[in-house]
Amino acid sequence: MNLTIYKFSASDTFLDFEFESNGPKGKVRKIVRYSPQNAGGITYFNLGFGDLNPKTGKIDDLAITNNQDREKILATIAATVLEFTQHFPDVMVYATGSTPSRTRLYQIGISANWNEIEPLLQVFGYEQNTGWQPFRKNVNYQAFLVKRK
Amino acid sequence: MLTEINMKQSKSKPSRTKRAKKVKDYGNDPFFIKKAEESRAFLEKHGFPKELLTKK
Repeated sequence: MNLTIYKFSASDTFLDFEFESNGPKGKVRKIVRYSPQNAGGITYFNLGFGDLNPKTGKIDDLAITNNQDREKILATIAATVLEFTQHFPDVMVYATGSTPSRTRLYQIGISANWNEIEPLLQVFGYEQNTGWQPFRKNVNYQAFLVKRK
Repeated sequence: MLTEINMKQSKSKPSRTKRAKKVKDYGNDPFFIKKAEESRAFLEKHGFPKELLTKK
């Protein structure tokens, strides 16, 4: 990725990634988890993303950090997708936000990083009326599926 | 319950990512479990793009 991203680390399995958001609200640990899942006999990985609550050690899915680094966070998540699919090139990754507005953030993130993503990944978006279709900018999708080309 | 997962790793390119023992396995975190189950329900209802199901 050529865009500015946070430095991130991976677990031994390369299913869990962690980075630290740094801004006006301080440092916040962010976790990206690729969970193996199966639907209709087809295996894929679900991309989950959230803030690590330092008090509970659990993921806080609806936390609003407001650290004024949205683009950098989205670019970092995109970088973990590229890293994950480099290690597991034959798998599909499914992603959707916890809320429609967060799903739209993923859409914005894909669009903003399209020049880096498009040469490497097939990206599909699910749209209510048309179903799955190749990703296009400025279309509101409910969910995304990506796979290495 | 998963019975088989194709987790064949690519060995063609070295990783640029630092593996860190401090990054724990969040597979049992309730949030990620819930998200994965929601994704399964969605994909069982709507299916997958056929273009992604074809073998390379």
